[in-house]
Amino acid sequence: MKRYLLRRLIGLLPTLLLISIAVFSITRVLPGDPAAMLAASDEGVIDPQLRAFITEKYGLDDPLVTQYWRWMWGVVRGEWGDSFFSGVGVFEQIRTRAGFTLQLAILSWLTALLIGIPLGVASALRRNSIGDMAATSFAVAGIALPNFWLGMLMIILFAVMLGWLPTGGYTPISESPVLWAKGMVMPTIALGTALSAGIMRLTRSALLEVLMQDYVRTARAKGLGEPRVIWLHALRNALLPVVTLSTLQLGGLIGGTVVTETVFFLPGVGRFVVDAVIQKDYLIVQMGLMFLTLGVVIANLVADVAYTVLDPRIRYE
Amino acid sequence: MLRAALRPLRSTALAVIVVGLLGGAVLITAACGSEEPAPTATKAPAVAPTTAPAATATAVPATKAPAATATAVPATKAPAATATAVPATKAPVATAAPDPAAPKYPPAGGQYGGTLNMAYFRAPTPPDGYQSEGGFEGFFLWINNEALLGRGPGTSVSLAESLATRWEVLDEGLRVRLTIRKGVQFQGGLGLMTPQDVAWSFNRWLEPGAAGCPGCASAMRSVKKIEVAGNDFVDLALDRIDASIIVKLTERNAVIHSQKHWTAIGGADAHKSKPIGTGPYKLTEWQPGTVIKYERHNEWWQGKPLADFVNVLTISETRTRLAALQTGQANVAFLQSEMIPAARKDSNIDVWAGDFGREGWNWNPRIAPLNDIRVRRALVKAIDRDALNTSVYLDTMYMSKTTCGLPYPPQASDCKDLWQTEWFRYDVAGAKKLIEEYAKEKGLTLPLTFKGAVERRPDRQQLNEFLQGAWREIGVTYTFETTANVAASSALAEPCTDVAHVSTGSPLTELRLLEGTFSLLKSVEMQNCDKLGKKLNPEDQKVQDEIEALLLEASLTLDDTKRDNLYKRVDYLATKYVFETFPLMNRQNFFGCNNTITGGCGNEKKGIDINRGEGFFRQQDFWAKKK
Repeated sequence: MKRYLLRRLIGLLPTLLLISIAVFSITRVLPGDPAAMLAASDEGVIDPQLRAFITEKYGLDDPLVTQYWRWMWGVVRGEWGDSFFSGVGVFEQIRTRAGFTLQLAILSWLTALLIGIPLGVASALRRNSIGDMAATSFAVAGIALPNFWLGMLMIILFAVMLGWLPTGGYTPISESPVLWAKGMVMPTIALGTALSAGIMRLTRSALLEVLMQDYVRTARAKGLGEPRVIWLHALRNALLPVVTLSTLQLGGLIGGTVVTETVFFLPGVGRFVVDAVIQKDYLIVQMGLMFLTLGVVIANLVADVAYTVLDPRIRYE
Repeated sequence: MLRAALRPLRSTALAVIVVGLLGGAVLITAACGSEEPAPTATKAPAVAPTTAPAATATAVPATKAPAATATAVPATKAPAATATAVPATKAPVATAAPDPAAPKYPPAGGQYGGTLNMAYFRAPTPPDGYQSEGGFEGFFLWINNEALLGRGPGTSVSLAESLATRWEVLDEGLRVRLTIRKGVQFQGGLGLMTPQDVAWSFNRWLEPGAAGCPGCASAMRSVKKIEVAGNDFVDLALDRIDASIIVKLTERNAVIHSQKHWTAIGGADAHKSKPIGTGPYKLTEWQPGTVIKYERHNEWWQGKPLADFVNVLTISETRTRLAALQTGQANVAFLQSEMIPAARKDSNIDVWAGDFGREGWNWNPRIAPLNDIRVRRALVKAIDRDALNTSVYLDTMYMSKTTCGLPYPPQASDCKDLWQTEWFRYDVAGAKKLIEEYAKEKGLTLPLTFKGAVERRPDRQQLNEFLQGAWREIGVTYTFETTANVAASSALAEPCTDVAHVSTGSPLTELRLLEGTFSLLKSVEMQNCDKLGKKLNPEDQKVQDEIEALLLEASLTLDDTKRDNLYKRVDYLATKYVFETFPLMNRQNFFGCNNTITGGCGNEKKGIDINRGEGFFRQQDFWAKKK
C-alpha cells in the first residue's frame, strides 16, 4: 500500500506539470491585457505610459515560454509572486481562501452523505412505498434545482422572513463558533442537497442490486438479523460505487462552490478566481486553478484508497 | 499490476479533463465578463439644490492667510463655488475661504461606537486612493483617503476646502499656491501631515508609471513642478495656464499619503493594500473581493469619527445585497435599479439618489458608417429613450430633453434645440430616411453594419440589445462583443479596425472635466486610426478642430463664467455631432440605508449634504444606532 501511494504521488508530478501548462495556456488565450486593465481610467481610456510600464514590470511582453518558466521556477522556489491587482502575495491570498473552500466543500459533502445514504437505504428497503416515492421526488428536485436558486430561497425564508440566520458572510470559527455555524448552515445545505440527490439514487439502486445477491440470501439463511444483513453485508458492498461518486463529487465541490460563494458572499477560492479572471490577474488565476484541479486529483486518490477499506478483496501492490 | 500502473495515467487524464472543463468555464466567464451592477439612475429633478450647507467644512480654524499679498475673498455661506474666478492678472487673488457658518463634525444626534457595514457590488480596486480605479469606488474611497480639496456642498460641481484651506492663482495663472491645513494627523500615529508630504504625494506622478495612478500623468501634464513654499504652503508651478487644475485637486491625483509610510513599506505595490492617509478611518485589512475593514482614526482633523469600525462588504449578488440591507447585516448598500422598487416598499429602508453621471457611448467617427453625421444622427433618432428608460432601467434614468449632459445649472448646457427638434427627436421614419440617403449616395445596400463592444454588466448588455433592435428598424445591423469590463472593450476598439462603438459612462459631468471626457481625441486609438489612414471626413475634422480649440481656450481661461461658456459650447458641439463621446442619458447612483439600525439615514434621504461630490457620501456621517 505504501509503495502504491508513493507511486501515485510520484505520478502526480507529470499530472501537475500538464495541468500547469494547460492552466498557463488558458490564461494567455483569454481575451484582454492585464496591463490595459490596470492602466484604464474610469471611462476605460487606457493610459499608454502606465500600460507600457506595467507590461515591462511584469514581463508581459516576454515570450510565453519565458513567462511560463519564470512562473514555474517561482512556484518551485515557493515564490508565487504578487497579485497584479492588489499587490498582495498570491500564496497568502490562496491560502486564506483555500481553508474556507475546503471547509465548505467538506461540510457540504458530509451533509450530502448524511442525507443521501440514509434516504437511499430507506428508499431501497421500502421499495415502491410512499416513502420511496417521496425520496425519489426529493432526489429529482435536488438534481433539478440550481443551488443558487435554492440558496436565494433560503435567504428569503431564513434570513429575511424568519431572521434566524445571516444572509451570508463568513465568521472564522476561532472568532465565534456560533456565528461560524450560523453562517455555514445555508451554503452547506444549498450545496449538499444537490449532491445528496445523486448519492441517494445511487445508494438505492446499488443496495437493491446487492440485496438480490446470493451472499445476502446466505447471510439471511444463516439466521443473521436483518439490520446486520443490511448494514454489514449489503450496504458495505453497495457503497463502493457511492464512494466513487461521492469522492469525485468532493473534488468537484472544491472547484464548484463559486456560485454558492457568490450568493452568500463567502471568501472562497472559486469566487476569488472568477474575480481574478475578470481582472486578468494571471498569477491568481493560475495558482487558483492549480489548487482547484489538485483538489480533484487528490479526491481521486482518496477514492482509490477508500476502496481498500470497504472491500478487503481490493489490494494495491 | 497493469491496472495499477495505468492508474496514474487515469488520474492524469481525469485531471486534464477537469482542467479542460474548468478552462472552458473560465473562457466562458472571460468571454462574458464581469458581474457589475446596473448603474442606477433616476428621473431626478432637473434642478439640483444649490444652497445646501457645507457639512464637511471646518472643525479646525482656518490658518492665517499667506504672507504674500493675497486679497482674501470674504467668507460666505457658500465658500466653494468660485474656484478660480479671477482674470489672468499679475495680482494674486485668494479664491477660497473657510465658512464660519458650516456645521461642525459630528452631525447632530450622532452616536459613538459600533460597526457600520457598507455593502458594495463588486470586487473593489485597491483602497489606496491614489492607485484605485473606477468611478463607483467613490463608495468607499474617501473613508481613509482625503484629497487636498473636497466637493460640495450641494452639488458635486462646487469646491470645498479639505486638506488645503485656501488656494490662490498667482503669476498670471502660472502658479497655484495651496495653503495646507495645520494639525492634520496621519492615521496610525504617523504624525502630522506636512507640506513636504503634500509635495511628495503630488510628485508621485513623476515616478515611473506614475506610481500606479491611471491617468495621473495626463491629468497633471500642465504641472512643471510642485514645491514646498514655506511652512504652510505648497506651490504648483505650471508651464501653461490650466484652468481645470483646481478641480483636479479634488481627485485621486491629489490624495495625500504619508511619504514615511510609503517608503517604509516598499512603495507603490505594497501601498495598494496598506495605505495610510488622513481620512476618518484607517484601513486595517483588505481581503480583495471580500471585505475591506477600517477602524476609527481618533485624531482625524474634523473630530472623532462616530463608528468604531467600518466594513465594506462585497456582495455582488443583487438580491443578497438587498436581503443584507433588509436584515440589518448591512447598514448602507449600493442599490441597482431592479432593487429599488422592493427597497422603497420597505419602511425600514431609506432610499436616496446620489450624483449624476453620463451614460452613453464612445464612437469612432473614423470608421464607416459612423464617419457620416447622417448615420450618427439617424442612430440617435432611432432610439426611443423613454421606452429605453422604462424597459431597461425601470424608470430610474434621467433622460434629459433640455441639456446635453449635466442637468445642474449653471453648468448645464442648453441642448433643447437638439433633443426637441428634428435633429435628434425620436423619429424612426426620419432616421430610416437618413440611412437610405447615405446608402444611396455611397452605393451601399442595406442593412449597414457596424460593430461594438460592451462590458458584461446586465444593464449595459440590455442597453445594447435595445440599441440593436432599434437600429435594426432603420436598416442598420449592429453586433457587439461582450467583454470583461470597459477597459477590455476599449482595448478592442484601440486598433481602429472594426470596433467603433464602446458602451461606457463617466462618473461626473462637470464641465471642467470635459477635457477628460474628450480625451479620446488624442488617444492611442486615434493615433492608430491615423496610422491606418482613417481620417475624419472634412466636416467632422472641422468640428474636431473647433472642439480642440475651445478646449484649449477654456483651459487657458481663468474666468469661471467665460470658461464654462466655452465648455458648454464643447458640450453642445460634441453632442450635436455625436462626436466620439455621447451622453445618451444621465444616471444617478442609488443607495439604501437601514434606518432601524443606522443613524444619519434621514439626512441622506432629505437630500441634505448628499453630494460629497466624490460621487457618493461620507461614511462618517452615519452611525450605528445603540440598541
